[in-house]
Amino acid sequence: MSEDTLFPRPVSRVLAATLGVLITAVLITTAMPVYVPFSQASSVVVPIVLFPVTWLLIFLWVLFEQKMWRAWLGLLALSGLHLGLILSGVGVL
Amino acid sequence: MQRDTTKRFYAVHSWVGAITAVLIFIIAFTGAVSVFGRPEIKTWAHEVSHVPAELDPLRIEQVLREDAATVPEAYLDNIQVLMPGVRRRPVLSVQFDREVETADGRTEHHIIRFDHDPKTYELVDRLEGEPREVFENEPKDLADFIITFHADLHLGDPIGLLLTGLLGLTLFASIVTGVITHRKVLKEAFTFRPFRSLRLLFTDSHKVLGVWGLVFNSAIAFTGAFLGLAVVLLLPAAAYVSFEGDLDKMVETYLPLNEPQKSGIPAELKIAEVLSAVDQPENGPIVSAQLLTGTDQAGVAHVYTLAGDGIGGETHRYQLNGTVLESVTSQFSQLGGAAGPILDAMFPIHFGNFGGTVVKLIWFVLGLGTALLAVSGSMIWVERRVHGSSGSLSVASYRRISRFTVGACCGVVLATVTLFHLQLFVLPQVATTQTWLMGTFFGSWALAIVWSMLRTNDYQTTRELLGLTGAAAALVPIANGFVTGNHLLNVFSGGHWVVAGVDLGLLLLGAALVVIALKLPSQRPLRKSENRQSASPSSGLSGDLAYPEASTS
Repeated sequence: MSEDTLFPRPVSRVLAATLGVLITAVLITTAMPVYVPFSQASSVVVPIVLFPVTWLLIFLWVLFEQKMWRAWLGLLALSGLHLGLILSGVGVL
Repeated sequence: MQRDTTKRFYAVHSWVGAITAVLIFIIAFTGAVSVFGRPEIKTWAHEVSHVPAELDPLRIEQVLREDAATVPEAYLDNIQVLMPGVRRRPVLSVQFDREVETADGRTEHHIIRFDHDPKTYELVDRLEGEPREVFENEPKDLADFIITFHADLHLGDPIGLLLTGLLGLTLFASIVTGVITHRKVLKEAFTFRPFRSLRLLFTDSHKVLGVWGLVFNSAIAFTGAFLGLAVVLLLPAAAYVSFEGDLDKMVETYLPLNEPQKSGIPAELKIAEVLSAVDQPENGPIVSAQLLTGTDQAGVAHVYTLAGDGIGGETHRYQLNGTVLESVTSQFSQLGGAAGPILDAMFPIHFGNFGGTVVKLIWFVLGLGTALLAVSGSMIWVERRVHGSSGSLSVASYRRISRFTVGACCGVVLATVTLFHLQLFVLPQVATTQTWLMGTFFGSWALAIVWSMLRTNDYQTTRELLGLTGAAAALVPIANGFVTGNHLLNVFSGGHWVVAGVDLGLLLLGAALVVIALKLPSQRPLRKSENRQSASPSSGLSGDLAYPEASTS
C-alpha cells in the first residue's frame, strides 16, 4: 500500500497537520485556563506544560482521519470554540 | 486493518524523522555539549577562572561598597553580585539596576556593571546601558555561543526559539510513533548485532538507541518544546487571556520579587554576613546575591545557589541585619499546587544540571545518543530509497540528500571543535568576539558541507570528516597547555581540575573519533544478493531497512 493510499489528499493533510494543528493547539492551550478547575497560577501553567500532548493528539488525529473534510471541520470547531472562550475571557464577547 | 494502522504510524515516524533529522542532530549534539557549557567550558575558556577563587565575603563586601560609591543613589535599590566561575560569569560582577521611565510612559531598566578579577578583585571592565545592550556588547566565548546555538540556532527570539520548540514537538511525535511502530521494545533493547553486517549494525543501533534512550528522549523533547514555545508563544498568549495582556503582571505572579517597604532609616551596604551564612556545605555553590533597598534598614538579600540535595536551585532570603526570612528550595515552589514543581523541574531535567558531574556525564552521553538516533534514522530513510523500492525521486536526488546529511552532521561536530582552538588563539586578542565565533563556526561548517557535496563517496567523506574532527579535538589539550600553561600533566600542582576535565574529555572524544574513522569502511559494503551495479559506493547505509515488522529477523 503506497503512502498516497495510506494518507489520501496529502497536500491538504500536510497543511492541516502543520499550520492547522499548531493554531488549534495554541488556541486550546490559551483558552484552557478559562475552564480548568485549578488555581490561577496552575490553570495557566498546566495547559502550557501539556501543550506537547495536546499538539500530538490533534496532529495524529489529523493524519489518521481518512476524510479530510472531517479533519478540517474538527480543527475549525475546536479553534472556533476556544477562540470564543478566549474572546469571552477578555471581555470582547 | 491493524497492519494498515501500523503502516501509517511507520510512515509518519519515517517522514517526520526524515524531514527533521539533520536539525534534530544539530540541536541534540550542541545540547549534549551545552550540558557542560556552564560552568565547565566557560571556566576552560577563561584563563582567569582556571583555578577556582576562594569565596571571600569580606573582600566582596568591600568591592561592593567601592563600586556603589561611584554610581548615582538611584541605582542602589537593586544590586546584584554575580559570583565568578559558578554559572555565567568568569569574573566577579557587581551590577546596579535602575528603572527608568521612557517618554511613552513605559519603564525600562538601566544597569551599570563592574567586572572584577576573581582573585585580585581589580576592576577589569565597566559597562553601562540597557541590559540587552550590555549583554550584546560584552565579549562572548565558545560556551555562550554553543548554548545560544542550541537554544535558538542563533536565529534569535522569536524565530529561533519557535523553530527549536517546534523541533521538540516533532521529536516527541517521532518518539511516540516509533514506540507504536516498534512494539517489541524489550526484545529490541537487547538485539544488537554489530558484526553480522553493516545493515544490521545500523538498524539495530537505531532501535537500541531509541529504546534505551526512550525516557531521556521523551523528557528532552517535552521540556525542549516547552522551553522553546512557552516564552515566545504560549506565555504571551496565556497572559493575554489570564492577565489581561499584562506580561509583567504574569511574571510578578510567578516570580514575585518581594521588594521590601523602605523604613526610611539609612543603613550601610553589607553582604558579607549573608554570604557567609549561605556558604555552607549543605548548600550548593552561590551563583549570585541580590540586594533590594540595601541602603535602608528594611533591606533584604536574596542569595541564589545551585542545587544542593534537591533537583533545582535554591533561594535564601535574609534581612540585611542577618535574620533569616526564608529558604526556599526552588524558584516557583511558592506558587503551590501543580505549577510550582512542574516549572522547577523543567530546566534541570532539560540541562541535567542537578546531581553533579555524574548526571551531566549521563546527560551528555544520552544527548549524543539522541543525535545518533536522528542521523541513523535519516540514513535508513535514504537507504530504502536508493537501494530499495520506496520513493519517487531519482536515485541521484537521494544521494544528494545523503551527502548533505553527512556534511551537515559531521560538519557541525567539526565546527564545534574548531571553536575551542579559536577560543585559545584568537578570542582573547580581539574585541569583536561574536563576529569571530560566527565566522569560524558557520565558515567551517559550510566548508564541510561543500566538501561533502562535492564528493561522491559518502563513506570516505564520513571517515575524512570524523578523522579531521578527532585530530582537532585531540590537539586542543596540547594547544591549551602551550597557550595557558595549564595541562593534564600539571593538574595536581596547578589545581585546574575543571580545565583538566574538559581537556581529558576532548582527548578521549578525539581518540574515539579517530578510531571510528579508521574502523569505518571506505565504501558501501555489498551483500551477495545485491545487484553490484546498483550498489555504487555512495549513499548512506545498506540493508533490509524495510517496514519494521518484516525486518531484523
